[in-house]
Formats: sequence, C-alpha cells, structure tokens
Amino acid sequence: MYRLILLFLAGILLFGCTNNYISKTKNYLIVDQPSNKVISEYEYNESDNTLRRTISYGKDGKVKKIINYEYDRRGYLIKTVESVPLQESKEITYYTEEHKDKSGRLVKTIQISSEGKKIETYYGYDEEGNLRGVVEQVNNKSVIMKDYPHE
Amino acid sequence: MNKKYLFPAIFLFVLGVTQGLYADSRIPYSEVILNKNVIDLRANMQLKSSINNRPVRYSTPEDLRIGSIFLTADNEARKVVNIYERNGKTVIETVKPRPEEVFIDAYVPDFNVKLDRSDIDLSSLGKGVTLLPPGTPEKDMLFSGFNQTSTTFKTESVNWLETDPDNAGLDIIALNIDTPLFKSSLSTDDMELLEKIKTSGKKAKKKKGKTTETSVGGTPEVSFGTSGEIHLLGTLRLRKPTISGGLKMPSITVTWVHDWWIVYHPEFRHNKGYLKANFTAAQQFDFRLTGTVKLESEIIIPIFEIIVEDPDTTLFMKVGFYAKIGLTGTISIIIEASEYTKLSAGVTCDLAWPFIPYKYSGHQNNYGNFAFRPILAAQARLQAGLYLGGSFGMASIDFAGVEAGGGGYIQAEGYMEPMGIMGYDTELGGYGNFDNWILDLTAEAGAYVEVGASILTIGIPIYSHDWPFWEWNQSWEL
Repeated sequence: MYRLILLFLAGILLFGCTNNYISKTKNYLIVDQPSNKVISEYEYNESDNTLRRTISYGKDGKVKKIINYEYDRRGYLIKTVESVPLQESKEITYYTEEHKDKSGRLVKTIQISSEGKKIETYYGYDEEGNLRGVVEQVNNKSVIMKDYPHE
Repeated sequence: MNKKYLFPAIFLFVLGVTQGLYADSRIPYSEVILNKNVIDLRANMQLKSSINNRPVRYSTPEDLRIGSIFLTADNEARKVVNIYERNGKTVIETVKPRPEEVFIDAYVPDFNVKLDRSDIDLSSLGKGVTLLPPGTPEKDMLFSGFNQTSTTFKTESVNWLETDPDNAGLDIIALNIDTPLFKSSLSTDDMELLEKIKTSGKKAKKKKGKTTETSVGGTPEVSFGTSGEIHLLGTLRLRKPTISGGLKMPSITVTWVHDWWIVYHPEFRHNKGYLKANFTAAQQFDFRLTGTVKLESEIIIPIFEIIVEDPDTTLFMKVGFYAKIGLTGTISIIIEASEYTKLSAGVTCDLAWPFIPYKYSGHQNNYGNFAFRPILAAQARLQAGLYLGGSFGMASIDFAGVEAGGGGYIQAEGYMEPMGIMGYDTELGGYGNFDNWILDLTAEAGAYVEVGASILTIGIPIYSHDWPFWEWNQSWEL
C-alpha cells in the first residue's frame, strides 16, 4: 500500500513537471513566404516572456546555428551558448548595469560581454517625462537609434 | 543594370552593412535610425518596448501583427504577412520589407574591407574541402602541375592568378578539394552472401553427426564485379576579395517660413542620398575530374575439395585446390582543367526620399580564362593459375580463409593525351589545339605468385609478386 502511494505521488509529480514544461514553452516559426522555408525558430518561456532558444536555418533547410539564452532576475541576458554544426559550442557571458536618474527613470544601461563587446543604451525622455528615443552604441562606434511613438 | 534587381541589391547592402556594424571592427562608425514601428526581436542587443511611455519590457513575437516590421534574432528585417497556428507552433509568414519601412535614416561612411580567411564560415566547407594554412607552398596543393604543362601554350597576354600583375603581392586563400562526386558498384559476392545466410539455417537442421566429405571436380564458380566513380581533385585559390561602399539615406525636412503674401507656409527641402558598392575578386580553380569504370571477372574451376563439418555447431573446415582465371580492366577518362576569373563590379546611384534610386550606373570589368585537356587511359590484365586454399566457418558462411597460388599473366596498358591544351581567353578568344596526340602502349607477360587472406567478406592481400619475362613498349606521336 505504502509503495502504491509513493508510486502515485511520483506519477503526479512527473506529470506535473512535464505538463508544466509544455505549458511554459511557446514556439514560433519565422517563415519566408515566397520560398515557404523556415528561416528561424524561437522558443519563448511563457511565464517570464524571455527568449530561451533560437534555431537559425540555412538556405538548404539545415540547422545553421542554435543559441540558448539565460537571464538574470531583472530580465537582462547573462549567458548565451551558441552551437554551430561541426564546431565547438561557444559560451558568452554578459553583465548589465543600470543607471537611473533621481526620479528612478532608467536612463542608461551598459552591457559588457566576456568577448569584450560593450553596448551602451541611452533612454531619452521629453519634458513631460515620456520616453521618446533610445540610442544604442556598440564599442563606442556604431549607433542604432529608435524614436518611440508617443502613446 | 536591370531595375528589377537594383532595389533588392540596395536593400541587401543596407542590411548587410548594418549587421556588420556590430560584428566587424573594420567598418567605421555608422548610424542607423530605425522606424518607430520596428519591433526589435534581436536576442542580444534588443531595445526595450515602451509601455505608458516607459521602457518596460522586451518585445516578443506575441507583439507581431500582420503588417508588423521586426528585426529577427539574426539581425534580419522582416515584414509579417500572415500568422497562424500549426502543430502547436505559431507560424509567422514574412517577406523582406522595403528599406524605408525599416530605416528612417542610415549613414555608412565610405569603407573598404578586404575579406580574410577568418571570414570564411568553416561550417560551410563541403565534404572533402580543406582550407590550407597561410603561405602553403604550391607543392602542397593537390593539383598544381597542370600550370607548368600549360605554360608553354600561354601567350603573354593570357593571365593566370600567379601571372596577373593585378595580383602581385596580394595574399591568396587556398582550398584543397578531394571528393568523389559519384560512386557505384555491383558484385556477385554481395548476392552470394545474402543467399548463404538465407539457406544456412535449412542446411544445419538436416545434417546430424560429424561428417567428412571429399569431392573431386565441380561446377565452375563465376564471379564478376563492376564499379564506377567520378572523382574531383583540385585546388581553388582566391585573391582576397574586397568590398567597398558607402550609404547616405535621403531625407526630407519641413520648415515653416514667413513670406509677405502669407503668414506661414511649409517649405520642403529634399536632401538626396547616395549608395555605392564595389566588389573585386579573383579566383583560379585547377582541377582534375576523373571518371573511372572498373571491371573484374573471375572464374574458379574446382579440382578437389575436403570439407570437415560438425552439424551440431554448424562449424566447418574446408581445404580446396582449384584453378583461377581472372580478368581485370580499367578505363579512365580524365579532364584536367584550369579556370581563372577576375571580377570587378560596382553600382552607384543617388537616392531620393524615401528610398528611390535614380541616376544609377553600374560598371563591371571581367576577365576569364579557361583551359583544359582530356586524357584517356586503359589497363587490362588476364591471369590464370592454380591455388590451394583453406577456410573455416559456420552455417556455410566463411569466417576466415587463406589461399596461395601462382601462374602466368599478360597485361596491357595504354594512354592517349593531346600534346597541348585548348583554352578560351575572354580578351583574346580561343587558343591552343588538340591537333597532336601522344599514344603510348605497353604490354607485358610473366609469372606471378600471390598469397591472400579473407575475413568474412573482407579480402586482405598478404603477398604478391610478378616476374615479367616479356615486355613491349611503343609510343607514337599522331
């Protein structure tokens, strides 16, 4: 009887874990419509909305690259593991620091990778305190900017 | 240049450069302003979404709608045209968007990048392709002899990678290629093994007690085999390709001006942009394509055989004395070829707002040189001898065996090749000819001995030697 109860509990636990995993993962296929070929596949964790894995496909339909992602509690990327067929997997770690102004608004983040890449992201606000633009600078060189629509 | 291809070319260029911004320090400071509606799904450098005018969270594919423009995890811009569910996955059908749908502004200062061996994606190398280390001497390349042979037929104006003054002092990337393109074979051994496995169980059940059988003579055993292969062997050498270009997106500015007849009116000012891209490369491919057909035929005439067999374990030991007549032949057609291509192409245009190319012009300067020569070779050998062999096995399947024998043989070889090459130079036209050929024939007769072993279906030659007692060779220049 004791064994049966243990087996029953283990079954519930196993089912719960499996079911939990399925419900927390959502997959997206990005398809090129003209060719009907899958370009990439994203695996998101539904519970915290974070990207867990990307699979990139080549023109021949074969897997070109798989990247797994890990995040810290704040939601910032802390590790990627990149796997390319016939090559050793590459692990990159990231550290992100936040800078906030006196009113607690995020004004700057600095992400530094173990490869030495530094990404500085600046958040700009208008006089009414609305986010209006973001500037991202890589290794103090290239810049990508975006204007945010006023909601 | 065909207008149809100009727009995609420009778009790919812009995306390629902006992707490169983050991957390559050889490209200088660049600026990109994304359209405000672009959803950022890049995995690493993702910009946060704005909710209630605050940077709150990162976008996910859940934010995508039909018509959305987004950046993928691979830094590729796509436009959503359809979304649906299939097998528990959300399928997002996309197309490439127009540049002005992605960028408000983009500026890439003039650059000139020489692509290096480190830029080669090693995972993209095909089977049998190896990247040679820098400074590899020509002798270490799989195929470099053809150049010397063909040199005598080159005029001073015919250029190759090593003689083209444009390539003087430039580094060369070399790749060796050694791979079969096609392979096929068929032999009677394969069919026999299958037959033996199929019938062995039945035989083992029928016999009881240890038996010894001796037989004299028997039915000749005939076997044949045929195989064909097309093999590619060569060296591809590249002068490091160079790409250069620059981009300034067009813009439009609106200013409110005051004139005497009206209080204020808008004044539009168009600032034209430009796009330029140039690509130069040179490559030489020396290769040898060999097509070979091999025929093997063998007749074994049993003289006597002793078999000791234990039906309980199906173990047997066999000793036989037999005559063996074999015929082997090979026909090869070889094409030796060298191909040299030098390409310099570019496109320049002005861009009007939002992203409309005009006053575009393309330029190209190509040089090509291709030369080849065919070689025909054939070889045949007929041998006949007496053999003594022993083997053991189970259930009619030979596990291991050894045989030794000897006899006489006669063999002939011949080849035919032109005393030159034929080629085509894009500047000079055709050159060379196949008017003169060399025909070489060799024949030989002698005695031979050979000792071999076999384990299951694998044959292992242990010793073989030929003692030729008659040789003949003749060459003709036709």
